[in-house]
Amino acid sequence: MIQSMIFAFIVLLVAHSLLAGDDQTAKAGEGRPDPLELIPLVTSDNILEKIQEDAKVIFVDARETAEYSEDHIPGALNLTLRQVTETSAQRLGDADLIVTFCLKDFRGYELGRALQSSGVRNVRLMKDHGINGWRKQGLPIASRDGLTDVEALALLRKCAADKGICLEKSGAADFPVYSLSARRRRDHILDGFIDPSSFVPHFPRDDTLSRSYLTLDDTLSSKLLLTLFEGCRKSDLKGS
Amino acid sequence: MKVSSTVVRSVKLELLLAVVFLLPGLAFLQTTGDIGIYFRYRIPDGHILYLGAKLCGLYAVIFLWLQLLQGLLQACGYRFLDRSDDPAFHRNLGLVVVFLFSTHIALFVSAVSMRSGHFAYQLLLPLFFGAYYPSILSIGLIAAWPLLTAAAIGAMRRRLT
Repeated sequence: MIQSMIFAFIVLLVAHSLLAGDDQTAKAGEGRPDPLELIPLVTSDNILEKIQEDAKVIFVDARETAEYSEDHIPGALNLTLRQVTETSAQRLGDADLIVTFCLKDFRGYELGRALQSSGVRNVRLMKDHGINGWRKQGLPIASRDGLTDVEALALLRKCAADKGICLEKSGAADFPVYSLSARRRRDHILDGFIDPSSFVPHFPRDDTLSRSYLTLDDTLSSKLLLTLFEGCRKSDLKGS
Repeated sequence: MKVSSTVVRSVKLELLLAVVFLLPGLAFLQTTGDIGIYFRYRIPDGHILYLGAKLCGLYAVIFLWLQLLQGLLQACGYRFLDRSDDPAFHRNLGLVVVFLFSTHIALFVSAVSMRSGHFAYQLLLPLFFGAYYPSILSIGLIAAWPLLTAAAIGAMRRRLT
C-alpha cells in the first residue's frame, strides 16, 4: 500500500513538473495591472465603458450547455474547461477584453487560466464574480423564459450608454426587469428602455469570432450569435 | 508455487492501488495545470478550498468504485483483492470513502461561503425543481445519504454484534 502511494506520488510529481513546464500563464499575464493577480478583476462599470468605447469585449461562459441555455450574459460564448484547445483559444486572441465567468467564478477562473495558458491575453474576471454577481448588479441576462439574446444585448447597449439604467438600480430587490413575469418583463423593457426602431445591436461588434467559432463547435452560443448577427444585418439593411 | 502465486497477487494489488492513487491525481493535474501558481499569485477567495474539494471528489469516486467492486465480487465468490476477506480492509476503505466525500462537501460549501460572503447552506438542501445546477448538486446530496447510511449501519452492526 505504502509503496503504491509512493510510486503514485512520484509519478504525479513528474506529471506536474511536465504540465507546469508547458504553462504559458506567466507570459500571457504580462502587462497585467497587479502583478500579484494572475487574472485581474474588472468591475461591471469598466466592462460597460469598454462596450461603450466599441472595444471587442467577449464573455466566455464556462458553465455546461444546459446551464447556458437557461440563462447567460447576452452575447456570451459557451466554452467549458474541457473544450479549451489551442485552436479555440486562438479565436479569442485579438479581443480587447475577455471575461470568463460561471456562477461564482470557480469554473470561470479555471477557464481563464486555461485560456491564458493557451496564449490568450486580456483575460479578466468580474469583480462581482459570475453571472450571479452580474444579475445582482441589475445588468441584463438573456434567458429561456425572459429576454432573448437580441433584446438583452440591446438593453446592455443601453446600459453601457447610460449606466444609470442598470447599475444605479442594482441591489434593489424589486428592480422591475427581474421581478416581473417573462412576458411583462419583455414588454416593460421594450416599452420603457428600448426603442425598437432604433435598435442597432453592435456587441460583439463583428461576427468574425462567432462565424469562425461555428466551425469549431456548433454550440447553442454560436447559433444564438448567428441569429443575432443575421438580425443585425437585416437591421442595417433597413437603416440604409 | 503457493508463494509465487501470493507474490503475483500482491504485485497485482500494489499495481492496482498505484493506478487508483494515480488516476484522480492525473485528472486533477490535467485540468488544473501548475499548482504552484495558486501560491504565487493572489487568487479569489475560497479557490484553494474549491480545488481541494475537486481533488477529494475525484479520489472519493475512485475509492468508492474500489470498495463497491471488491464488495460485489466477494459476494459473488470472487476474490478481487488479497485482503478482500479482511473485514478491517473493507471497513478502512469505507471510512476513507466517507471521509473523502464528507471533506468534498465541507470544502465545497466552505469555498462557496467564502466567495459569496455568507454561509451557503442552500447547497445542502436538495432542490430538484429549479435550475440545472442545483438539480445536479441535489443528485450528489441524495447519493450521499445512502453512503452515510451504509457507513452508519456498518458501525452500528459492529457494536450490536
